Amino acid sequence: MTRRHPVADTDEFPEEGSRVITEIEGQEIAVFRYDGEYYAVANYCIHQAGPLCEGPLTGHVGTDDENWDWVYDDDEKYVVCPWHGWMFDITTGRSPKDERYGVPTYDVEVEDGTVYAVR
Amino acid sequence: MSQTVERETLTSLDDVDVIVDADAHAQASWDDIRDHLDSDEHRRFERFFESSPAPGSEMNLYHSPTPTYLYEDMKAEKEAESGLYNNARLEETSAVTERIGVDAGVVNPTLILNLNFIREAEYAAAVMQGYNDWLVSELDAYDNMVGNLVVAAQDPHRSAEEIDRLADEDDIVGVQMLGTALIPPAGHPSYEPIYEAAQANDLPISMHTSGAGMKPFPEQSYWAETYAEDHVTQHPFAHMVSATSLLFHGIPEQYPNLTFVFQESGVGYVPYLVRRLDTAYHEFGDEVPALSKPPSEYVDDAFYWCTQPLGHTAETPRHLAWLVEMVGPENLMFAADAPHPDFDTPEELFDRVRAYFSAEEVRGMMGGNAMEVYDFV
Repeated sequence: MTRRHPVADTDEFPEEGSRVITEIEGQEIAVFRYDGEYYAVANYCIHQAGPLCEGPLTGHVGTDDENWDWVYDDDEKYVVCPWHGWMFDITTGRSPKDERYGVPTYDVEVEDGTVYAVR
Repeated sequence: MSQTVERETLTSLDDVDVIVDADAHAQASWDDIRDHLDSDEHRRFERFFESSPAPGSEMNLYHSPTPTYLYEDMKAEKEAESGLYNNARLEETSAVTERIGVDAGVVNPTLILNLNFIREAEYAAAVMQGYNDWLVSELDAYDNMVGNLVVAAQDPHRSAEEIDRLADEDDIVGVQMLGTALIPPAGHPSYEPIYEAAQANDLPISMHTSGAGMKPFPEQSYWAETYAEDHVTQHPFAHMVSATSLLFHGIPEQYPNLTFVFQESGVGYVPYLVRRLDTAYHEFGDEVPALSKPPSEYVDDAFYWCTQPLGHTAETPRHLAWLVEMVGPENLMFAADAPHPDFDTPEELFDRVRAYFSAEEVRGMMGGNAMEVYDFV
């Protein structure tokens, strides 16, 4: 049965991209503040078990549809593993590179200034 | 109720309807090329061929460290004019093909495998036109031979016109974009006219390397002291550069109906390359924006690998079967490389894989895949 676990007070997320990493029932989980919302992701890279959520948040390079120029999407919602560079969308847990891959995500609730992860 | 599914496997090459050599060769002499030059367009090069003490040497920025084909057949040539090489025209290729039990061959060039070394684009375009017209006229005489027209990477726009000019010829089944010394590499946008024309004419791109392979890179190659040293490394390394460039520049994404055939390097390097491409795709995600899925998936869809040279597979036959499983039987094409002295017989592949794969997969490897990609019957 899932239950919610307090992670941090909202004032520990002073700006966009702020994060808090905590341990819940033996599992390290990061909560990110992104676009006014909170997202919880396992601090675990499915590639070689690296500390995924200790890496930077970045945008994503793609190509434009007309002439294949490289375009940087500065929507900084991708966490990049500090070990080997694999990236995942913190809002979905999915790899933007390969639909087969993803990392666990968790629901987040905010109540009375406290951020909770549900696990 | 239980159900038993028995997979049909083959026991004899006699059960394979069509065996195709996806990498056969025919050697046009410089006289052949000159004789087929369009004299309106390339008159200057007719004189060029006549006045040169050694036509073709102009393209050899690369020189092999030792003579390239020290085989018995070549030695015989000096005495009796019976050498495999100097006479390795389509007639001999056709005969060798038949002799080793292969039903059809897809012909590629020999003397001009180093076409990319020519510096002057006009000269390269002349050789392209002369060779291709020779090829078309020769192929007409042999029922068991079809061929790849050659393009000159020095002039992608003229190459695209050449594809349009010859694509409807019955015996032309593909485009040969030579893999040796291809500068810039295959994924460069300057080649888009070639890919566009190939796709529009439903012709696959074949890439054949030569022993000069990666001469322009790296510097180490210049220090190969023998042809043997070159021959081991040059072919697969050149293909690894071409495949990587094509994929990371998104060519298969831009031209989703185009297929690519890699010739003359065996298949041992393929699993290594593909896994490495996928790894780089994840590790350097922002440097590969043009792909929307891992490189291995494009490879599965659009890349084909010719099997020759297989090496001495009798030592551990099962390892070749494992290798085929890793590369994927549906992406393999048997190649003999007839009539060159490092050719493989069909048995060299068939005997190692027949018990491991279904009849359908084996028939595909031996000829079906080539007939489908090159679209001939």
